[in-house]
Amino acid sequence: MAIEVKNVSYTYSPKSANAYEALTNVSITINDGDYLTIVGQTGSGKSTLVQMLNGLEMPTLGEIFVDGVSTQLLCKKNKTTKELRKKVGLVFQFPEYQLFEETIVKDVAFGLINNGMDKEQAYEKAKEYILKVGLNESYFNRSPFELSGGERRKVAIAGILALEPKTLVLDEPTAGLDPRSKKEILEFIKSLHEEGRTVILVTHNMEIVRKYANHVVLIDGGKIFFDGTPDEFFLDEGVCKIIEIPEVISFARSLAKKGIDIDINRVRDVKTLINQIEEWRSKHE
Amino acid sequence: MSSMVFGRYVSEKTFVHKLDPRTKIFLLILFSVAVFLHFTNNITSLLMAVGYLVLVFVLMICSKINILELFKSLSMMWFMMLFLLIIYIITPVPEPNLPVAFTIFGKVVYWDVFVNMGYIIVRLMLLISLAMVLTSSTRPMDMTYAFEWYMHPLKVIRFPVHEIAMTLSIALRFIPTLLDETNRIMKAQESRGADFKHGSIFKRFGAIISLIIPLFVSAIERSEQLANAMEARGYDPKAKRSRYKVLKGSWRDIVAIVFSLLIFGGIVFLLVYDSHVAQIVFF
Repeated sequence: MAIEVKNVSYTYSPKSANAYEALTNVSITINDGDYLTIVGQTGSGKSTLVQMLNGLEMPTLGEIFVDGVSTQLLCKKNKTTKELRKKVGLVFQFPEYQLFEETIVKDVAFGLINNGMDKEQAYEKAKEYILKVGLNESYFNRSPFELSGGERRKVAIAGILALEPKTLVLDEPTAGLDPRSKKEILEFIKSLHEEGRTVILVTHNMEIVRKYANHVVLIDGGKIFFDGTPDEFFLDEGVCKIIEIPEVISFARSLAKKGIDIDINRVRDVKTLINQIEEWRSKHE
Repeated sequence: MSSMVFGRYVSEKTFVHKLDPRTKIFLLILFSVAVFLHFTNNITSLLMAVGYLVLVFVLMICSKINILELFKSLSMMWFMMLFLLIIYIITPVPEPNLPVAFTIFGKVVYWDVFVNMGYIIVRLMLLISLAMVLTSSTRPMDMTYAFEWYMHPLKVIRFPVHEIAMTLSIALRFIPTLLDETNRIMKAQESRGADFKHGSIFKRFGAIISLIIPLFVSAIERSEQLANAMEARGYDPKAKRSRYKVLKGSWRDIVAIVFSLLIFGGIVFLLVYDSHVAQIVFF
């Protein structure tokens, strides 16, 4: 197992009058090669949880183990914090606001140089990853501030990917993007997952859960409400009350209730639903 | 992060919180003057300093302000103390027959140096605590309204009072936003391996640049958006406007002002009585 979250609680500004418990007794096991989506309403504690995974925040109670080592232990010394950050790469929400260098190559190389890589080598690697996220050579020496929002986000993601973390954590990577950039980024993340990386993705988008994930965690009010596979997730009665599930799924469910034979686990999108309806029709004619 | 901000407004329902911000600013100025009145007699000065401290602490307790926070801020003052000490040692003393403490590098150090420094520290501490009472019991917005009210007479000489008050209130409004932003960007850069706390000065400087540039970019973008939003709603700084929140004095303000004037009068009386020649020194 790659990451184990064990009975973790997190309290903002403890001991003060406005102490606020963001997470209460959360336990999750994330296996190597998982594509985990963390869903939940705004303010449910998703982002806090995710920030604890690479040691930016420390749990108030409980422990998080990355490759069997507790993050608290890893972060005691400065050097090992960097080790942890190399293992778990975190892409923040709206990462385009963290760009600052004159050129895109330099910006992507920032993390690499921070981790002690040689400048020339870092630039080479940066270029490699800029191409990987789907931008071409003409971008190398442009300023990050003249790019569109979607392009900037790709650059920011490349900046984290260049560190080659085994686990990639993304906090709402598609928020506020146009459909095309959204799809490009998601396909790219999928390809990373297929390469064998563990992906942890915070999202509100149930389509992503349905299409890409193999593990879903629903957090509600700082507690784990659901932990399981997407198939179980969309069948769970309680989940529907908290989260708006995709229309295809709810449509399929209502069809199933009306007595039409539909296996909801196999419904991925409109096409697969139509296939099943056709199957059912051919059986009944 | 925001909990670290010194003298941050804390919502309470005390007498001090309910006072009109204009009254509070006036009283702050009044007591700042009182704190810097100079008594010729050392013993009276000492007694007065103790009196002020007691008064300020009572005030702080009444307005439910965390006194510990004040002492935290004092720990940041050590550099200034050192600086003051050096200046006092270097400046020549008018009366050479004062008691000598010790000699360092051929320079005579008088006990007086420490006494004077002590006074300045106590006075600064008093000023800081008074200012803290003001800022932690008054909403920043109310404070700008009060400033605007005080600057009103300047309108006669075409001083852009409203514009300045508006700028001030926008600046105050965005402090917490920018703090959040700083926090966020810091974390984002930290996850890219930037280190703000360790390493050589050169390395830390690089890390800080990675924080400042995005912060500036977002602040400028924000200001542009705000300006556009204000214009889209037809904002005109010169237009006559009404207020959502009108400042209104109450019996509390009268009580506070009368009480404070009595204390101030007492201090002034003591000053004249103490030395017959009031020697007022402003630092």
